[in-house]
Amino acid sequence: MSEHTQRSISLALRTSYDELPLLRHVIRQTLPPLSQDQQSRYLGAVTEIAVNAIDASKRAETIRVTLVLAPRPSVTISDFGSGFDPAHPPASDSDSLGQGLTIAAASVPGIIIDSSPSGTSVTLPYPSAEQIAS
Amino acid sequence: MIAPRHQFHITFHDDADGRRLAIHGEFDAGAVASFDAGLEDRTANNPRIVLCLRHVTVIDSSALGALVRATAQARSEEHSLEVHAPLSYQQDLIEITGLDSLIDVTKDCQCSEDEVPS
Repeated sequence: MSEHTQRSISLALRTSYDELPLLRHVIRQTLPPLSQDQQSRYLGAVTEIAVNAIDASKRAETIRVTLVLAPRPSVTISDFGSGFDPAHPPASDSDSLGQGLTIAAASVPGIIIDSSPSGTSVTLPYPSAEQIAS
Repeated sequence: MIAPRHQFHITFHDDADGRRLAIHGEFDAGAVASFDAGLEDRTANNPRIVLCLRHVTVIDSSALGALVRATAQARSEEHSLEVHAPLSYQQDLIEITGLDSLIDVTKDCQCSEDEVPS
């Protein structure tokens, strides 16, 4: 297998907050280990995006999560909601501070948002080997 | 399946200064209802409450929102509620969200280390 071949895992999760611990567990088990501080920051960002996706697509019953394992790990969370303007993100339904996207972007540099009327995908790059070692 | 150190739960400790709630594990949108219930059931009529986040491994904005509501509730009852947030990522989150203007946050936590679950 070429070192550039992309290896990934795709999950369909119910649109329930009860799925959040499972999502974090799978990430911990499949992606490279992080320090406790790095892990808290990354998984906190993943949680923010997953909650937004769950809130946005409850009628679709599932959200999709893709874990890219190699060559450069990342987590992409996709919902089947009605999309939004990334410059004016909507407030969450979860009675949060409404700052989930702001927190995620501050915690994980390089977040990619792709939103359309048929849904939203957010990709969170995993810390690089150099970042993990630092 | 989820490691015990990541499972959300609250332990309660009393000392001369009041009641301390040590929050453990992943404090997220799915845990807020348990947090609210624990706070309401176990802190009634206690004039001084400390919420310690030392053992929290993940926290999200829903949980931060719960801390803001808990603070507002305590103030409405003329009680004191202090949040201990000793970890670097917690302090960064509080700064990003500006919560230090809404809740009483202490970074220098002196709570006991001996409550870390295995």
